[in-house]
Amino acid sequence: MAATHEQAAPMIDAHGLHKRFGSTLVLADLSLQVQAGEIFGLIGPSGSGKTTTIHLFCGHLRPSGGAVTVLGEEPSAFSAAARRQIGYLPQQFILYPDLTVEQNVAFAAGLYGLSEWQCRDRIRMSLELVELWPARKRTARALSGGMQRRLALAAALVHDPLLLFADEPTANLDPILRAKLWTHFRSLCDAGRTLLVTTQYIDEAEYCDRVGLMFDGSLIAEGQPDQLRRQAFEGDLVDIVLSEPRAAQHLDLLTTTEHVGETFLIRPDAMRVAVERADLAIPQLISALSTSGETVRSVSQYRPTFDEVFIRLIEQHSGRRPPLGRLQTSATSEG
Amino acid sequence: MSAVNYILAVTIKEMRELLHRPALVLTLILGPLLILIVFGIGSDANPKPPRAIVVMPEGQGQPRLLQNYQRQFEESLTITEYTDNEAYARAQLRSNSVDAVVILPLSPFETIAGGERATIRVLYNEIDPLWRGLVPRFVQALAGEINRELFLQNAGEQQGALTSAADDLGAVVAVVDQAVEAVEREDWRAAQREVQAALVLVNRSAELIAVLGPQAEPLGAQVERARSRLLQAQAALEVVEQAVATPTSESVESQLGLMQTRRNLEGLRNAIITYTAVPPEVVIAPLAVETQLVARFEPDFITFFAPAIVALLLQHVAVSLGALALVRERLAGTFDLYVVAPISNVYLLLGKYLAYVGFTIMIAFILLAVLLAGLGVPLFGSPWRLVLTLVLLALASVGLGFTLSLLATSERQAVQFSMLSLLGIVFFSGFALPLDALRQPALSISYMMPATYGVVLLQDVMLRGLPGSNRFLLILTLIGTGLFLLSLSLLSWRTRSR
Repeated sequence: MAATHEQAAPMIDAHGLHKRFGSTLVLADLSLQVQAGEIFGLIGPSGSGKTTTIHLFCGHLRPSGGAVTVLGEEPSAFSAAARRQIGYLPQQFILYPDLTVEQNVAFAAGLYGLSEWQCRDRIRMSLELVELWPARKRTARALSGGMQRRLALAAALVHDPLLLFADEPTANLDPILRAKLWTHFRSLCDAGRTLLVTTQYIDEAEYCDRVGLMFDGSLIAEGQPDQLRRQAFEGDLVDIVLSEPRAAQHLDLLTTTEHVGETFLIRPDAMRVAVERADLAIPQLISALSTSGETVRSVSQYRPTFDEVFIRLIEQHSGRRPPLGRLQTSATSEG
Repeated sequence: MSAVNYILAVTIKEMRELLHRPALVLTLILGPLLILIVFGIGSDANPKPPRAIVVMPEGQGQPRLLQNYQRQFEESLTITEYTDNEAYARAQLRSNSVDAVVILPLSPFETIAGGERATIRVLYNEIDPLWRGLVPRFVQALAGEINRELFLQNAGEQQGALTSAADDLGAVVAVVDQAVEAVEREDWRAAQREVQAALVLVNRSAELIAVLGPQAEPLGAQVERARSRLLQAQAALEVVEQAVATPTSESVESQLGLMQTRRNLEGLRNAIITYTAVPPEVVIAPLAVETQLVARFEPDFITFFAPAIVALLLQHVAVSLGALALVRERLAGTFDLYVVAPISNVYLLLGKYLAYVGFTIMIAFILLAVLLAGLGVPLFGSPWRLVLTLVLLALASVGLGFTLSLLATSERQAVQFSMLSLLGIVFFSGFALPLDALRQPALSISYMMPATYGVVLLQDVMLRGLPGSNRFLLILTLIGTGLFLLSLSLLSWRTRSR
């Protein structure tokens, strides 16, 4: 899908962005482009610079170096017309706890110059989208954490923005609602909207057209999800199961085979092999093992999870594994 | 997408937020009302007489001063105890068990009779600068009352003595007339007899006056003059007595001496009659003061403080809302939404301004309605002027709140600013202390606070029924203050949000 937008002017165009807070460099040399009509996911552990990036794109912060344009304008000097095209879902719930759900969304519409009485339908649509219409008379204070996130999303969408910045929109939501939100993001995207979404849930990279992986203030990889998979392991992964538990003996043998990269022992009788192209490499691997007297019980292409992809990419970038707990793989509750 | 939509969105949001807190609204209305009622019921405009221990001279029992003037003592002081132990009384004073110790003089009447002042010593223990003058005031009033009683008594006694002397002088004049006739007849024996009789009467008058003694206030000058003229008459009669005793002497001389003495005595008698014709109350206090309250009505505590309470509440609510609103949004991160959205800072501030002005006016109206309808506080002036005053006061107060909000870096600091503003109202707005009691620079602070204008203007319109033209300059200054504060907050707001 991204390929269809490559020719158009990018919605977001950042080059060599730096941001310092005092002497601390929190964002280093960030360059990326987000094309119209795509979902761009910024994924990375907490503290990696995702929110700072969004703040720079929204105009909350000014960059310490580099340049960025959003909708063709500098964020720190957005025109009113540009602002009307932008929706922003902040990471924290910052709406008004004493107002009802409906009143909060109406106020958000008012911030974009929409009179509450003129946009009743839009308010209803936004609330129905996030399944909060039945709860419209409840105060925001009385909502669960997950419902508050949904309310914030409704408020960010009520004016039908062309470009939505969503800072961790799925945080604290249950998996079912997360999936629903991503489905809605996809429908927005299909309707020509552009989304820049940050998340700590690595598996959500699958929902994005393109993904940027952030780590320690740097964008360490960027591309379509499958491209990143291949980038992480320099090709495809193939799992080979032997009839005898002698897989360890053959790891070295396979690395000498043509088109084979790294090899990993995954069980005493099984190994994983990185290859340039699985379809070309599998016959060669079977042949090599047969030649050495092994019986191959099964061979299959392995599709690595994004956890594995990102851990691999971070290892490649920094030469070390990311700290445990900084990457989340799933959400379990709605808070 | 007009400016109105932006401003209204913020105004409606703010109003909804405020009205979603009915407890806040109720507290803002009922709180001041209850305080005002309790204050009105529990306050007394007349300060209570100080609690005092009276120290009597040792071993003399209850002195005559107390016996004679017990009523005056008990009206001026709340006497908790009589004692002859001064050390004990002082200890009670030190421990603040009483407000004053009144030490009576040893023999006041004898001292006064001896021509000296008798002194009542008063010790008091008060640290409140406002009430520090209270004990001396009460004691001065007591002394004044006793002095007045003493004067009244003296004046009566003096007038009695002078009246008797005048009666005697009347008789003397008649006797002198007979002596003159005897001289004309050259009946020297009869003349001598009449002169001697006149001398006896003059001497008796002189004795009557002499009894009044040297303390002869309040008619001291008159008594002294009478005494001197009686002595002169005495001397003159003695000369005549000698003249008539020797018939060789010139009868004309005797006749002339008698005629002169008669004129003197007649003059003295008339003068004394004049002195004694004046009532003793007029003699001791010839100048009376008559005061008359010409105010439209005599307000009680609740009524008098009602307009000031409205002004105070209005400023405090407006300042608190203004001070907290911006800082809370800044800290909550809501500004991130505003930065992204196309709404301008000016619209945002104006929207909030309108909401808070509206809310504070609403609170003030409800409070006023309860005061007017429920507590019978009058409204003598124009209702429109009342509304105008409330609107101007609210506009200026919210401006002050916003200005404070822009100075505050945390919610706690905003609350502190709001509390400082409340303290400012209490001390500088004329609420507790009249503005006349303030000097610079305190007075400048007074006129920086909208409540100061509010107290004056609301009292004018509600209690005095004065027209607006009466305070035209004050109203203009309030408008100026409001505009200045609004401009300041807009300017700071724009500068800080860049």
